[in-house]
Amino acid sequence: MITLPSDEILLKYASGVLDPALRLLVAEHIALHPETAERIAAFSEFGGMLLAAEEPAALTAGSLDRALARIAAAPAAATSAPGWPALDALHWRWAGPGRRIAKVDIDDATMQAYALKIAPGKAMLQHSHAEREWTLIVQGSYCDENGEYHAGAFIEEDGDTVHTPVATGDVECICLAVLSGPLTAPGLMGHVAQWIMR
Amino acid sequence: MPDFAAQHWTPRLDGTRGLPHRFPMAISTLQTEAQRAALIHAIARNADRSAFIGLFEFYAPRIKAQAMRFGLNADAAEDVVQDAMLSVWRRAAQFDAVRGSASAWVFGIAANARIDRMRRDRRLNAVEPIDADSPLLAVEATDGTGADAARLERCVQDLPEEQRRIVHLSFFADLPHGEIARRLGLPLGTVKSRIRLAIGKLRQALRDEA
Repeated sequence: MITLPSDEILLKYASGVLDPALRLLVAEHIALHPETAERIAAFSEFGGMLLAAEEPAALTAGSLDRALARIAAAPAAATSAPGWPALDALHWRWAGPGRRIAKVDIDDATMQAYALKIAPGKAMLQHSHAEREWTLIVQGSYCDENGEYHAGAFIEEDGDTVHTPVATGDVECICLAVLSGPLTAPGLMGHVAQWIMR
Repeated sequence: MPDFAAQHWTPRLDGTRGLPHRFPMAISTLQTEAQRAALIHAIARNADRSAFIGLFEFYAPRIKAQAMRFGLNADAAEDVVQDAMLSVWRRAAQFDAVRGSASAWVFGIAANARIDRMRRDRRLNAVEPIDADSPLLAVEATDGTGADAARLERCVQDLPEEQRRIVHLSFFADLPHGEIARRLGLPLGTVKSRIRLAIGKLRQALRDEA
């Protein structure tokens, strides 16, 4: 099963209003699944049409001259946006047998991002979501009550769902995840998780 | 309905005419996406300054207007214009007309400039939160942009009023579904299904246009 980001997420990605953490998660997904870039391009066309149809706003005096001065002094190389941090650079913590978790700090994000490594056959933390969660599998696969997901899958979970994903296959399952609200997990491991996620 | 032609020809505040009249390419011919794409290519090939001026005349006032829809004040929107137009100059070689229109490319560049500007502003606490009831979020068809307006109308104006509003709330403001539901007085499930429906129609329309 391959799962892709929803149209709503891609519309917001194209217009630039996505939370920075979720934005980087989508960018990582595109690296694994370039077809998603074509869907985003369609929404950029929508944005371009809105731009071209925009009623022009008055510019301040000398605006064009300032722009001309800047391009005359423009260096050749464009700066590139920062990406999701390298997995090796994260501070990984034990989160139960076969499980490691790392909190990921992303500049200006209001959502919480983290990375997970699950050994084959091991279960992730059973948890539910106060709000929404988006997960990208970057290596390996896992299955839960709804099916099996492989590398490249972008999974959106609503509130209310409680699920217990189990890593499948022969290699460690590595996921990146973004949460719109606090993680809640029942039982002892929930307390461990909340302590880890602080 | 704004008088598009009058707006477009208004002299700049610095006293010069809105047109780069010293260049033979009149702005009135600068109306199609293909022509704007040609100007981007001229920058990429020849670092063509007059082509840049032509693009600036068309896009700069629109980038500013759109940045204000996204919640930036006039000063911040003006900075976005400067940063975006500098990126247009520097990244012109990356534009690929096969992959998308000139306006879609500039839109993406302006979106990145907005993100950078808002990131700086957030640190200074200078971003005014966008009000979803703001008239800035209302989108009307304009009558002066020829093919673009027609395409926009077909794609967006065909949506029922409520779906159009939902798409714009999603597009211009990162409102949670729950907040959109509250503002429209609809159950959450209804909002979710209507967003899916509206975006599906939009995508279909864009595909048909492509």
